[in-house]
Amino acid sequence: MLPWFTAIILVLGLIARFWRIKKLKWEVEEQEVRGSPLKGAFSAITLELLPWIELPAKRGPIHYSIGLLMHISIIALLIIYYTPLAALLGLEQLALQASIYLSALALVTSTILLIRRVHGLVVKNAVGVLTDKQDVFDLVLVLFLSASWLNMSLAFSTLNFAINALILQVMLIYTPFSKFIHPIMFFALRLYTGYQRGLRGEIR
Amino acid sequence: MSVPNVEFTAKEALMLEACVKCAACVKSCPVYRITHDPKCTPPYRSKVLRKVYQSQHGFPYKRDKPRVEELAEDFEEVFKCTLCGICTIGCTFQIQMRETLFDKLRALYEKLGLTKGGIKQTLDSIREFKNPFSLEKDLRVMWISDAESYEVQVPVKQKAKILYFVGCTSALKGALSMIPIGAAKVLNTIGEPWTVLGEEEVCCGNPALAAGGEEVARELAEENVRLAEQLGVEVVVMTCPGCFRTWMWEFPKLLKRKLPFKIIHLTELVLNHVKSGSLRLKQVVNEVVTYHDPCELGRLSGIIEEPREILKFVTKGLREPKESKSEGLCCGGGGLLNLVDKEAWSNLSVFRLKQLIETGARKVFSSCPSCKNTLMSAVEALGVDVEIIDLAEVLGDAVEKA
Repeated sequence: MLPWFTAIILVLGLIARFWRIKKLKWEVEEQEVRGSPLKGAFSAITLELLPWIELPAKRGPIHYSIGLLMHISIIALLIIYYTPLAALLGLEQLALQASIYLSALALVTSTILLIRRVHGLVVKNAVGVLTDKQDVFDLVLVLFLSASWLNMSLAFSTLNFAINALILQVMLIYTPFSKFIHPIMFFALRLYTGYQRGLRGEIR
Repeated sequence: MSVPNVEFTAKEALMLEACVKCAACVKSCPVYRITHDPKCTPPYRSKVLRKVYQSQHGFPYKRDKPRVEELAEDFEEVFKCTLCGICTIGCTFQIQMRETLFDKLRALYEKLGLTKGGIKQTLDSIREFKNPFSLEKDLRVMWISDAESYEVQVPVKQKAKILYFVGCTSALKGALSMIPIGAAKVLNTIGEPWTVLGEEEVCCGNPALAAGGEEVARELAEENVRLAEQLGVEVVVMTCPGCFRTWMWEFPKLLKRKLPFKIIHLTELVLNHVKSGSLRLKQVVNEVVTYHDPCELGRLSGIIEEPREILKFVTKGLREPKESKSEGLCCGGGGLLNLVDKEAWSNLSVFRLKQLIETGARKVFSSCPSCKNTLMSAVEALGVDVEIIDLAEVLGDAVEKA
């Protein structure tokens, strides 16, 4: 029953979130630079992440690395636990082992990012003046999810699975109303604008 | 009083909704790096606009209308920005904060009557004098008299293939008159019919947009394009990156149509002629130099390699400074920063100059009258023996018919 309820809220929430953008004016700018949207988006989540590629976003290397590791570990855990990929490749045992380390990594990195937010709020630095209650709640939820993954990977039981499933449902229900929607927004924005780094001079 | 409804486009909405406030862009923001003011950051400025957006398009529980007084409190944070655009390439999502969100935010402040001080004066000056310096239009042609003393011919308002749009800074700041004179020499050497608009030239609207005056900028765009169309030009050449970016990227947006002529920067024009074999470049600077990328020419318009290729011909060599090309550090001369925070402007220009002279070069090249002006102030402040040169100034002597 709960997954259905979650699915309905998730779908309706996503529709509502995108409807409010959809109803706005989608104007085509005459001189807009449009590169290959797929190439731009793909390179942003692959090539640009390589350590030797210099980017202004990497000027805070500690924060950047922690953020990157959190995202990688969460994506890997989502694939391991909620897709049949490991089973299809016959790598279930390896995936189970990896899930311990990955969930520990997700837990540590999300904790650090939560501390960063809270510290920012206390000292009122550049991160703090941007942070609101929802940013803190989002990270607490990620932290809980990571902890439940770790708990489940260390000692699998029906109760631990149920805890993880419950937290996941809460996250899914919450996604359309929060910044957890950002993976979808990332592709929506990159595919719509077609923005590619340093392209302006090349296409004229 | 609550902020009245603002029209948002889907693109702006996508950008405002996509930002996760990770603050990755903060460390690349030149104003933040200089002031360390936690509110002088790109995401904070976006947050101000997001409040307005959420109040209109957010889920019902988030629709608290921000008050005009609240926005007024953030005036400095919104305008303390050089509009250099590095935050866009500092953002994984590539949210075009500078070009999409900050222009909108500044326009909102102007619409609500929240602009003040130098920002307001600049816009008033553009409205009245059609230039940001409150100078009479006959002063626009002073550089032409200077050109005549160098025996450089400058055709004014004639039917021609090429229009050279001089720009307010080069035309009206006497100390920079060698920039248009250099460009005029280049155009005379090329030998194709060219012209300037003379007294009739009006501001391109770049500082008007920076001050939030979108309507004024639209009127100026209409006037400039009408004048260019009357002369039947095919190409409009610029030496000022601010004018170049505004004609190239903002005019089509403001006028909602494609321009019937090509917009080109002088460095591109010269390089095209060199590559086609009609022009030759000779070495006129007998030492190794460095190059400062103007934000509006490099990062925001993609003209990065052209000036470098030219410098390889006209100088003994080029040493790259730290933070160059599309990641070039702003000198502070953009976004009307000097009118909001003179200290930040000065400190930023000195910081950039130090990076440039770290290369060991004593001649600093750029391709922007505003950068030249700003970096010259930094030279004075630092008391160093460094020459700031606009590429157009030496190109006049460096080009010859092949």
